[in-house]
Amino acid sequence: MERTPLQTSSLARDVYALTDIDTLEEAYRILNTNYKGAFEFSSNDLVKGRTGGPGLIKCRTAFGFTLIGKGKYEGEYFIIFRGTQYLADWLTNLNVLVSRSACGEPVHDGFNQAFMSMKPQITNFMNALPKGKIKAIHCIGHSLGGAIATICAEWITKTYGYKPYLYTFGSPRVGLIGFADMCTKRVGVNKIFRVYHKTDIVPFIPTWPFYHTPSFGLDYYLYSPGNIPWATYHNMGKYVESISKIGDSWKLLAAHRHEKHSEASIINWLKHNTVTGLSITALELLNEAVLFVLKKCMKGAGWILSDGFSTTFTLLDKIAYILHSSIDISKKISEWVVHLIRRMLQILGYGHIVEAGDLSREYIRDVFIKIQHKVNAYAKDALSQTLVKGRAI
Amino acid sequence: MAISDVGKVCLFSQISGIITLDGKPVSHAKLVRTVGKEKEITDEATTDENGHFKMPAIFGRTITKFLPMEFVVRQVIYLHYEGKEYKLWSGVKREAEENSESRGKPLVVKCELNQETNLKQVNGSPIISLCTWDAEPDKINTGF
Repeated sequence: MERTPLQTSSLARDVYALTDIDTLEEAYRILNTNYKGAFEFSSNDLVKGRTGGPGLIKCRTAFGFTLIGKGKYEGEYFIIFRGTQYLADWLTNLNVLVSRSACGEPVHDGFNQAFMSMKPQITNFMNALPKGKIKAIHCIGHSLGGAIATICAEWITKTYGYKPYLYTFGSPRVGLIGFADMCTKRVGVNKIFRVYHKTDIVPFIPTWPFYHTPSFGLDYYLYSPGNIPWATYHNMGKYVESISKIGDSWKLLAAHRHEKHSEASIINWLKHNTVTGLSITALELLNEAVLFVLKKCMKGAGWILSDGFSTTFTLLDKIAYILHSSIDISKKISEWVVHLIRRMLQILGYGHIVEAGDLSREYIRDVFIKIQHKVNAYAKDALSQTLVKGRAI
Repeated sequence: MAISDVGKVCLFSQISGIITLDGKPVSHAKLVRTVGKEKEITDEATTDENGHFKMPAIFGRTITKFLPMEFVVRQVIYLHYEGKEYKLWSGVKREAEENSESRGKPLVVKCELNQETNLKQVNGSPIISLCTWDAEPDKINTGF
């Protein structure tokens, strides 16, 4: 069975203190008190520091904690990830390197490397689990930890043929659409719980062609005030707070769900003709619109974008190629491309009208790169607010 | 807030108080305080005749390159007395504000060395110590 929003968000929050406190014994004491003895620690684990039991996952770029349920939670295993200071660098890097996940799908190389550095310790933990007695494996993480949990969940399905539960809070986008689809299908859409605040900037980056897991089905949207990304709502404590206010059930959380923009509203947005600034809503619509137009152009011809070992710039070049090729194919489709580029120019502050004939492949690519710069600058701005507030992603 | 305060965070609030062993003041004992994990800051203090001590607040600055993931700062104080070492304080500060360990009030502690450590959690920060201080502990509900 899945664990509740309060249970999983508490673990995602407390993994920070648990991995930071001076000794493992102290971490276990806090766990025992706050989690009412839900987890098993044998004194052997402490003394021998044996591999495969519960405890710290420790690496230069990432941290985590593995836990084994007992009593009511027997047969349940928890892998919890926290993030690091490297996240800021990775998220604001424009030219992201893409590498392959366990199933060969394209993911953010920085996130993938962080998972790979922890993989030996997670392998030890997984190999020690009693086969045939596993009731549930829970992969949990906040922020970068959410991204690592996602890569870990896909890896578990591939390596152990087991479908874990996946819970992420304010996770950045992990991979390209090929990864998002593959991970959603392999783990199962009903076992993925992606929670995010409306004004948390981190889930907006990296920008397309990166997508969220699950790529279809439910996600869990939490209200936060305003239409401007605000670092405060990335704090894990804020997630626990919002969940506590709504109530400890996924059903209740789902009732607060943000309706995905309908096709009609995307079309309406594309055809709109005013200079627009960036806001959360504009970012959401822009994102949906890119996907909408690309799908029109490709007509289900398969995602050329699922190449591994690529960079954002070469991917943007491919998008430009697809859009440009479509201009010649049909007038109907070329209209959509023109609408999209016009809207992007408006976001960039250019008011002038473009026609299909103006759109060379280089021009389209240039607009996409400029938009990426703008979205990244916007994200950086939100992230630097964190500095002023003295806290961070 | 002054411009110079931008990015300023409190890693350990000013802490003062009295230390006893079996109720008697622990005088001329050395306290060693360590803050942080990778880039540690250490300072020292000594108790006076009456077992009183005081250590100033330690501030840090967030720098883009070293943005901590959330605000997470390890806090440890050891006390050295008559050839013995006591772990007086071991916690993780989870709020950047000064005096978050004591809900905004000055952090004034009473520490008795001859007792079991206790776990107290204030503002999401767990602290295992030999000390008591005036601060309402968190109401904890993890759903488990």
